[in-house]
Amino acid sequence: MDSAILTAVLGSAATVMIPVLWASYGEAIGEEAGILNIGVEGVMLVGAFGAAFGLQHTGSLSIAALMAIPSGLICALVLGYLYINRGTNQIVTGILFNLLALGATTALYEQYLTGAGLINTFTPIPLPVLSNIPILGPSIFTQAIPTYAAFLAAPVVYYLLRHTWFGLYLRILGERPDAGESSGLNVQGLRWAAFAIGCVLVAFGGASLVLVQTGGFVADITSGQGFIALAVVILCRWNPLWIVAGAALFGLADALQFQMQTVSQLSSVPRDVWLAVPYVVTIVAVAVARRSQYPAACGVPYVSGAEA
Amino acid sequence: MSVTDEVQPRAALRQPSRWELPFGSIATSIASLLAALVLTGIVILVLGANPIQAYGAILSGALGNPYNTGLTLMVATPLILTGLAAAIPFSARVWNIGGEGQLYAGAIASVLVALTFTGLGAVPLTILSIACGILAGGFWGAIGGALRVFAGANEVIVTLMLNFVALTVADYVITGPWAQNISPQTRNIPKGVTLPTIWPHTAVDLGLILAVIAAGIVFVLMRRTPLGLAIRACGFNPDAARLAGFSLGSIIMTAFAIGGACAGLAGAILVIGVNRALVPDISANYGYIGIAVALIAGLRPLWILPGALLFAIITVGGNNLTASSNISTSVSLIIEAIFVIFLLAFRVIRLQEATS
Amino acid sequence: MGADVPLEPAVLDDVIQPGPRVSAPEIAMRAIVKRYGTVVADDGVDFDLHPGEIHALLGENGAGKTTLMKILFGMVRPDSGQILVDGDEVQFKSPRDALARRIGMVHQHFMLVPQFTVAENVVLGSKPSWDMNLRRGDIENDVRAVGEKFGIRIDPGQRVATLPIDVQQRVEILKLLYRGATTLILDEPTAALGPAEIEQLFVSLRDLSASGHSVVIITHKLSEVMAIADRVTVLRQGKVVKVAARGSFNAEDLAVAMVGHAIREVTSTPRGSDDEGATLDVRELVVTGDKGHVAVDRVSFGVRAGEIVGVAGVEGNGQVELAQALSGLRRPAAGSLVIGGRDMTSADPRTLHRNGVSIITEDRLRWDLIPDLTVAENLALSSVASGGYARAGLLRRRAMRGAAERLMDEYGIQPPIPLLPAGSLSGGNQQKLVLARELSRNPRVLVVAQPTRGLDVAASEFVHRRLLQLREENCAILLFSLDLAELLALSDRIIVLYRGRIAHQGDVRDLTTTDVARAMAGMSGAA
Repeated sequence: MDSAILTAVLGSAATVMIPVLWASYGEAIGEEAGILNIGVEGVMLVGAFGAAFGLQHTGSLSIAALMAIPSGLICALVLGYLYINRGTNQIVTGILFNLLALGATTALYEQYLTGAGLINTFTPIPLPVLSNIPILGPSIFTQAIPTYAAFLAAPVVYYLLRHTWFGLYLRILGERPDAGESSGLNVQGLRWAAFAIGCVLVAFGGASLVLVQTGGFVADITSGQGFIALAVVILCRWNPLWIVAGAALFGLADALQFQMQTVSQLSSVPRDVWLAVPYVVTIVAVAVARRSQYPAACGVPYVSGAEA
Repeated sequence: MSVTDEVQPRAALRQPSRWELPFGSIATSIASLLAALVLTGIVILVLGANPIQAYGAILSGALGNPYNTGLTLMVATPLILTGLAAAIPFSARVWNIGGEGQLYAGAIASVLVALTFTGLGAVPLTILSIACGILAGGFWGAIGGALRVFAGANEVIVTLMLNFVALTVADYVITGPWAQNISPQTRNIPKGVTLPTIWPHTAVDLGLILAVIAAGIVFVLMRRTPLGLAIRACGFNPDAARLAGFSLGSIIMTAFAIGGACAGLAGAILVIGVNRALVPDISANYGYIGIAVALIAGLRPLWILPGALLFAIITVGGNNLTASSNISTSVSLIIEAIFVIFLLAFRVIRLQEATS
Repeated sequence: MGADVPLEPAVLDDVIQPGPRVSAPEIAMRAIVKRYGTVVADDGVDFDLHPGEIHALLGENGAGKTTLMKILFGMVRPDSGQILVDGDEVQFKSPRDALARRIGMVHQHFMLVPQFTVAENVVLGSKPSWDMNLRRGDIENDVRAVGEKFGIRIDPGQRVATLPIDVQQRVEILKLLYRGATTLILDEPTAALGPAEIEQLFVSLRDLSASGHSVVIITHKLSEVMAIADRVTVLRQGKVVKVAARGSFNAEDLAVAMVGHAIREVTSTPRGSDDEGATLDVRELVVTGDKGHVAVDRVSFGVRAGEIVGVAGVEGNGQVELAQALSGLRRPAAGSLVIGGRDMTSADPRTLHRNGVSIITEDRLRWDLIPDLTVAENLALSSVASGGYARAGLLRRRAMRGAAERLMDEYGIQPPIPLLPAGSLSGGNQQKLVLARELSRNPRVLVVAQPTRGLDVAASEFVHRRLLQLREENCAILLFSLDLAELLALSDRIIVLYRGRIAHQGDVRDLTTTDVARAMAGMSGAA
């Protein structure tokens, strides 16, 4: 393959995978603690809107990025209350939340952001030395700050989950919350904390979609990337280091879609086939990876022994 | 596995008995609806409009005159069918989130058939198109079911992804060989291939009747046939169903196929009835809203009819909002979502907590 | 109620030793009341625990023992009543509060995370969650150190899933000792143990008591109370009926207190063996368990028509997997299963039903019943699965209802309303429902597990009588039970399973309880 094309593909893949990557970190933390959030798509959408809104009203990319925190926390408040305090069916609640987020962000967008002039993204910053490597340099090592941050976050999230007491307790809540409670853990409190952190990370994924890729918000901007994060998490067994690889796979599938249309031998293949590739890849991967099991208590609301 | 103090029964998918309304308490349901309206009213205020005016616009937009009422009924039609598409697999405790994609599959199949077999007479072609739409939807649902049964794949993710795949196929059909020159849509289907209007001077066509009949058939299926008992048994307790001798795999496949077929019928009706072609956004999230409809109906086929009507009122009325006040039609999504979320949060709707 | 097994000193290796001297508090519970809806679990219960004593809390299933101790452990909040620790009134809002007062509980179903290591399970909850520094090496050393104080030798880095049940129990106890618990509550600690392991446990408990720990054992087994308790409190239907100290009670008093009347057992007269061939013929059966291990290891036996073969064994030695293989729920890896001359090795449940096999599992709410369906639907369920009660694609619901009414009458199921959800019936009536469904098929073979679990005496007697009646009707019955007394009373022959193999089998008249108990503990060599 032509090296220019390869560079373009890698560079685009590295950019495109970032929203899914952040969302996967967030979803993995939540699922390890026992919460299956199908509403991850909605949270991403809210995060994207928050970032676009912040960008519009302050002009500052950094503030727009930080808007992910209140966006994520608002979602966590709503969903956390439903999942943890009310113990609703998580799958159905997630779907409804997605509808709510779609309706709310679209309505607010049409009211406040349509025709907004300001479009801005983080400029890619070439890393010293590394960006001189052929092919990899101009692609992977010349990316925007949120992109580098996403890669650097992998070992941080890994450390959080595997080498802190918080992470140990989290993971026990996802397997046997009753054992956790019996040892004196505050199951609901810990789940809230984990879920809030998770939602902020997911919202950050939505924010980076706007601030690194598109520069602005449109209705339903996420189009399924939150759901792809669900697949990445389960395929990569909740391990943040593997999740990077998983998100990269989808980034590649997405990036190839653009490039394939320019390759002359394949130009007769309709564009829609390439558009469908990431989704089909997800389906195949989920079908093939039989042994991935959710943490035992994931998706099941916990009823404390004291309430029973 | 030894001695236990069996004091608490397990939480379960609770379907009400015959004489009980799907709402555990009518008061709580009404309160939930009011709460949803109040919350959305606040959102409307934030958006800079008058909530009372907005709700008035919704009602008149939905029911204000016979034509609007007709539109409402025609939106209720696909909602009934996507509601069924969700309710049947949900009753088996498998999560069919793919109603949207199954609808599109039906739409694609019916438009392709209508545009291809033009040699047939109008009526046979209509019937064939609809039948193919049903089959395509069933097939699309069966893919999800098969991956769940044979590969153990998580059906939520699979059916979600299949929705997007169906959308890309639809996009190809609309922009590809069957495209019409001017607007983004396929060529119109032949003139005679149509669903006759049953309420003169409105848009209400035979599709409504088909949807109601489908709901009736599903009711009989779920409540009066061995398959329905099997589906419900599988939903309440798959282990016990297995020991009793049921084949869980075929139950799940069948549930997905029948559900998908209902959604496929919706797609066919949308193409052949109102739109007469496959257009982008032929479905305004009907698949997902159908899930909400199934929930407020307590998964019961006959209660899906009023549920779909309620949501159709909100949806069609919502379309009227931009005309009369300056707000987005998406407000209807907000109302619908908050309403059902409240019902879930306050245990009016009770669903099995465990995922499979 | 089963003879005691004599001690074998060599077995008492892995015993908890008396650790450093501790002083446990005096605990008093006064007028504890707890209701669940209309069911009163504890009805004004008083309970006293003296420091350093071993106190048995005795009663039948549902008597309120576990609820009372869950209240003491902070897992359940009482509707009214007081808890006093060393004279101070305390309110426990969660187990965290109880642990702070050095009260710990080991539950019947262990609260261990199988995929995690021993150390991770033991230190759970001991440090605050915001502590960012978890070092595997450090926690393993800490756990090992505490273990050594008490003579518990377990590798802290081992995953709990790989440990046998009695070792898991020691991990549970270590958890409490690690947190400095001086009051230990054990809920049915011997349920999953064999006689030798029970003896180990008792010696451990005596050691802990010797070093000042207080121990509460919740149990329904009289033999344990007689063996180990310093004092006993007997609960019946949520009320205290007797409190006595060692020396002033005997087994019969306790039995009467527990049940309210003298226990009458139903026993059968074992039948001589005929020369007929076996109806249920198992040859070299190999079944793998959930974790991929060999659960049933080349087992061969036969059950003849008109015979009850009892399967004895400590829980977890392959009974569940064997029963599942015979029920069509688990395909054997090797070997054969022949019923009435036909090969049923990989038959599914429907085929087994069609060939005259009825199945009653040990977990009726999970496998036998669907609580949300009506009684009539439950009774007809397996027929419907095989194509019954159907005409022109529709269910013949009136026929279902009629059949249900007849069965409810015949089996005395209360209340006799076929359209009630099955979950609203009491445990005893639910078991009758299962019996009714499975026995009304006139089976040739019945595979039944734990038929009287959770049932009161009257319901148990009914079940036993029904099984014996079925035997008279020439059914071949394979009875799995963890209750040795029940097995000995009903069976013609007994098979003992140990680690998936038959450790012993024979005619019940030729066996002593000691033989069976030894085989259950793996000490075969007994012929």
